[in-house]
Amino acid sequence: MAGEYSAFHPLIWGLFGGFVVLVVAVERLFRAKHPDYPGAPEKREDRVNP
Amino acid sequence: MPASIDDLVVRVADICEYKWDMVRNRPLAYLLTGFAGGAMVVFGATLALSVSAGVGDIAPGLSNLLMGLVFMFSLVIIMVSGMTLVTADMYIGIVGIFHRRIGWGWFLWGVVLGYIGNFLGSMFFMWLISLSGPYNLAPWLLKSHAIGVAKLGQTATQTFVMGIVCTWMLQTAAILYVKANEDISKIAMAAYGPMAFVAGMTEHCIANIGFLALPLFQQDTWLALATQTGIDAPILLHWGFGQYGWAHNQLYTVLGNLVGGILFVGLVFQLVSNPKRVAEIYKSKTNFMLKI
Repeated sequence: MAGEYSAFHPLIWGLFGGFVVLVVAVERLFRAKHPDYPGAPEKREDRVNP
Repeated sequence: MPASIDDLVVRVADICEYKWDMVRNRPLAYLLTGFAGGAMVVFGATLALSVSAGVGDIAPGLSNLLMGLVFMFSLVIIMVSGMTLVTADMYIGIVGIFHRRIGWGWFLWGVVLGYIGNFLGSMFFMWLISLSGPYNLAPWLLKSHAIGVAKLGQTATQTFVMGIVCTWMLQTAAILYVKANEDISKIAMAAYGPMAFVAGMTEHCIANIGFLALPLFQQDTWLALATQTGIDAPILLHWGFGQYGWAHNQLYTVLGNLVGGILFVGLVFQLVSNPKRVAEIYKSKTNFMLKI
């Protein structure tokens, strides 16, 4: 297949993009389905963003 | 008895709390754990090269087994010493996100910092090996170059799929290390991961950093040997993208490793655990940090 030795292999980058979307979507859906799911004892802003 | 899967995800979230506490508050210390972890991985790669030189010409499968057997304690020493191997830790961050221990930004920063530390450790150790006497002798020099040609010659798709397989195996072993309770079972679980991914001929980005840099560091010596022995059309390796390029292998191995560990280990174990039982475990918890 063309591009097999390119840094921009369209199929692989497409699959990787799909993987990122899927993982984030699963996490968001999980949060929506289990709003009371336990977690850290204290919620701090610095847990979310560096 | 190993922990239940519900206990397991809470343990993993507590380990995430410990590791990312270091990422937040002592990033240089975390970088050092990555440096040590990266070097420990290529301790195994060096041993694998040492025992397998010449064997592959006679029995390729036996060569893979020998390499796996000497490589397998790399993850054990990383886990027991508490150092960082980014390809074994991705599941920890993902479970930590579900348990609200970290956000996506901190997860990405932890992975990047771990990768940089691992890169430095893996590359530095193999640079030292390239300066040695024994590894510049014919059987090891030829084997090192042959491994470089075999791995760097693969297409993007071949590298990507074997990257997925690698961390699927490795992080399964790493999470089962946490699930096990006795020392001997922990050691057995941790040993399984590297043995499987090396004997299985998969692609591991941190091992590949140094392992595939070695034939590049030694290329002048190899070329002189190839000229003396009359090898026709010697294949030259290079650092860039394209066939036989180090960066080409590293890029698609990293992408595959991310998918394998996060999607097929971290996400699977988290979604299999029972949210109600996990909530019950949290009710009696007082300590939210666990050192691996």
